[in-house]
Parts: sequence; C-alpha cells; structure tokens
Amino acid sequence: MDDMIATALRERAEGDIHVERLLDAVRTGVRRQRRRRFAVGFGAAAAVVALVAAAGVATAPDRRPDGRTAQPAQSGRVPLPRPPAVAGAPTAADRPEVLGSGSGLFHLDIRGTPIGWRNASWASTRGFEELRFEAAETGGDVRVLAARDPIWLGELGPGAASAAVDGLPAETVEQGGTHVVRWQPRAGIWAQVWATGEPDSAIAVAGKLRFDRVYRCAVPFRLAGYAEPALNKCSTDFVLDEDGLSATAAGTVWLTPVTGGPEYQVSVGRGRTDTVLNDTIAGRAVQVKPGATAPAPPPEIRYPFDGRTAYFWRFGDGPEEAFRALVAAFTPVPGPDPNDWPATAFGS
Amino acid sequence: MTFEDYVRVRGPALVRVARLIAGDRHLGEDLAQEVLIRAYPRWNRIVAGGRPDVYLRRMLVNAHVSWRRKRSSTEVVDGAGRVERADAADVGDLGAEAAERAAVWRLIRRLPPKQRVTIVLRYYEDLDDAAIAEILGCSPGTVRTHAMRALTTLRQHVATAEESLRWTT
Repeated sequence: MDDMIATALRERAEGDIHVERLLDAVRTGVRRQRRRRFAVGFGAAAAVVALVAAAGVATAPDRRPDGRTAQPAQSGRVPLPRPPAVAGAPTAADRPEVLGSGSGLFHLDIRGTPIGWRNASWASTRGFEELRFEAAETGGDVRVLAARDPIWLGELGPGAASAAVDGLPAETVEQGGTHVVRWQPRAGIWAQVWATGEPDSAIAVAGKLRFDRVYRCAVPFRLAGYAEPALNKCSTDFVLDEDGLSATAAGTVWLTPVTGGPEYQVSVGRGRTDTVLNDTIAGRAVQVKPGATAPAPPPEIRYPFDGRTAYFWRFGDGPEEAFRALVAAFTPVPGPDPNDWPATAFGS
Repeated sequence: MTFEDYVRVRGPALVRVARLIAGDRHLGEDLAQEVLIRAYPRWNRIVAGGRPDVYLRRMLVNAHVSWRRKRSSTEVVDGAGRVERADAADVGDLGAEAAERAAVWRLIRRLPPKQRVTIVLRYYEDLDDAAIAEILGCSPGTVRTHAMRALTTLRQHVATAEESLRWTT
C-alpha cells in the first residue's frame, strides 16, 4: 500500500516544469500586485450575464411523474441555466434513436436545480451524451452518461447490487469511492450515474433525470475560415460566479481536421492573471506551452482576449502549423448569452 | 540564497507538491505561482527564518484552503477544468497496474484536505510527523490521526478497486 501511494503520487506530480517561465510569471505577478491591477475582475464582468432571468423559463416548476409539483427554488439559489432550447425537435423520450446521434444536440436534463450547484456541463458526441455537475446537494461531482447501447457505459464490475430508480430495476456498485447506478430509464436508452459524496447520491440524481427536453450545443466562438472538420464532441458549460448571484457560460469543441491527424480541444474560459505571453499567432499575443507524453498535460496554447481566455489543446502528435491555424481561425462571438451564440462554430 | 536562486533550485519541487495538494495540475501550478508572488516581497524575512521550504509549503496549504473557500475566478470554465479527449473514460485502457494507481490517485484526491496534505507530505516529500505538523499548524499527534484516517479510507477502497480491476482486465 505504501509503495502504491508513493508511486501514484509520483506519477501525478511529475511532468515538465519550465523554471524560467515560472520566474517570469512570478515577476509579472509581482509587478501587477504593485500596480494593484485587477484585470480579471474588470474583464470577467463583461462576460457575466444575469442568467437568472434567462433560466427562469427552463426552471419553471417541474411536474414529477406522480403529478406533484417539485419544490420551488430556494431563496437566493441561482436556478441552473440550460443551453439554448430547440423547439419542435424530437426528444429522446419520444424517439430514443436521437440520443447520442452526434448532432450537437442535448437530449438529457435533470429536473430542477441541484442544491448548491457550482458548475454544470452538457456534452454530446456520437454514441452518448453527458451531463456533469458539481453540487453541495450530492456532496461532490456527478457525471451522467446516457446512450442507446450500454457498451458506452463501460464495465460495471463485480459486486453490483439490485436497486430501483423510479420503480425501474437498476444496479448499483461502488467503484473506487464513487457510487454508480445503471438502469434503463425507458426502452432503447441506457443511463449511468457516477457520484461522489453520500452513498445514495447516485440514485437520487438518477431519479431526477429527464429525456423530454432538447437543447443545442452553443460555444462563444467560431473557427472562421477553418475547413469544416469532424466535430467529435461539443459541450456548453456554466459556472456559478463568486458572488453566487449569477453564472458565466462557456463552451468547448473537440474536433479532428478534415485532412485527418490528432484531435484538438478548443475551450473558452475566464480571464487569468498568470498567462505568460511568449509567442504571436496571426498578430495575436499568445502563450505556447509545449506538452509532454501522457500523463503529462498535452501541448497547449492560451490566447487572452477581452477579459477571457481561449484554450487550444492537441492530443497526440501533429504538425505545429495545423495547431496554430486553429488559433488564427478563432473568432470570439460577442455577448455572454448562449442563446445568442451561433448554431455552429464552423464555416465562413 | 536569493529569491531567483531558490525558485530555480526548489521551485520545481514546490510546483510538484502543489499539484498534489490541489489535486489538479493546473490549479497546483496556479497556487504555487501565487505563493511565490506573495513570498517575494518578504523573501529576506523568510530566508532569515532558516527554513524557506517549510514556510512556503505552509503558505501553499493556506492558499489552497483560501481557494476552496473562495473558488477562484481564474478557474477554467470547461466543465470543472477537464482537459481530455472526446472519448475519455475514467479508467480506459491504461492496463491493470496503471489503472490501479489511477484509482489510488482518485481516492487521494477525494480525501478531506488535511488528510490529503498529510499523505502527500509523508509519501511524496518523505517528511516526518513533526515537519508535517509545522506545515499544517497542528500537533504531531493530530498529523498521525489524519494519516491513520486517510490510510483506513484508502485501504478500504483499494481492496474494492482491485477486485473491480481484476474483473475488467
């Protein structure tokens, strides 16, 4: 056990550390402290939106299957925002085959607002859809995966016990400290919840899942002029702001170029004070962080703009110019509301 | 030793232990940087105390506590900071031993903060209870309690994880 702990820690701690870059970043930070700049505070304010009002439609009182109305949001609790709704699109409840079709649509949702939620993310890829969130109600992280084929859920492992979710047969198991429940919410759909925290948290979350809504993936950027690649996965994300009164939206795409090659991840997040600009791409000052072999982080490029930060990661080897071309094509979409963001990040 | 010399010689060790205490590489690097920025103006005083490693690790632990309380606004917004392939799995095809170590790491990450810090400082930095106590600001007896509880948790869950992994490989 002692050796296993020590080895596990060494593996996670190791990886390249560029001391001179660290020193540069520290010197920059010291200068900023001296000048009392609060770039993050001012820049991020432009990206904050009162999603409380926008989310009011999505969090209208829910009807439970037994007809009772769900508890209204507690005073002071920010309703969980949702990605842009798609009216008239078939739901997974009506047509299970739409789930995991890789169309950039989300057919998975949860009733109400998890108490004490801090961040939430919807993602869609070929084969399955994901909902992740972190909430005090569950005591930790929650990951929900829904698919038409249980092969996407992975191996459940031994020691599974029988359980029930909304009266439907289910299996539960503990995997390395995480509570897992798997069941079929309806014919043609398999779902699995992983949850840390309390032992019954996974089943509690499972009982709140719904498949009668459709949302679209929205990201706050376009890759203008970039030859439309294979979109492997798309996510729309929300993070509760520090003041606890509003939330900030963001998004991520995973893509493989039309010419083939490695997979890339492009995300937008909040502004940072520790970005060390060391390169220029298409006239933009960026930070290039060369990666290393896994489990070390992959190569990364950071582009700070308008109080936010765009991230680009590459998984695997590939031509540097293709990586940099993504940065050149990156075009921010103005406005903090995902409902105003375009339906696709690609095309001219 | 000047500040720059210390960062060049001991900075990497600080960053590595920060990665473990934070449970996340990016956050750990951010915290280590923040600690060094704060340490710079008082460097002469820190060095005069004779043990900058201990001082900075204490600052690191406190910085992590503050971060947990405030949830820093520099957090990456991508679904809780995940950088991963589109088809990333929790365990994937790492092989049995690597998967086992990955499971141990996930358990360590989920320990309460002081238990995790104790495990990191004991097993990664090889510190004794007295040194850990000084960093955590508690007694050596309390350190031993943190360690005992952490190891009990890890042993219980590792046994379950080993059984699961044997079934999947």
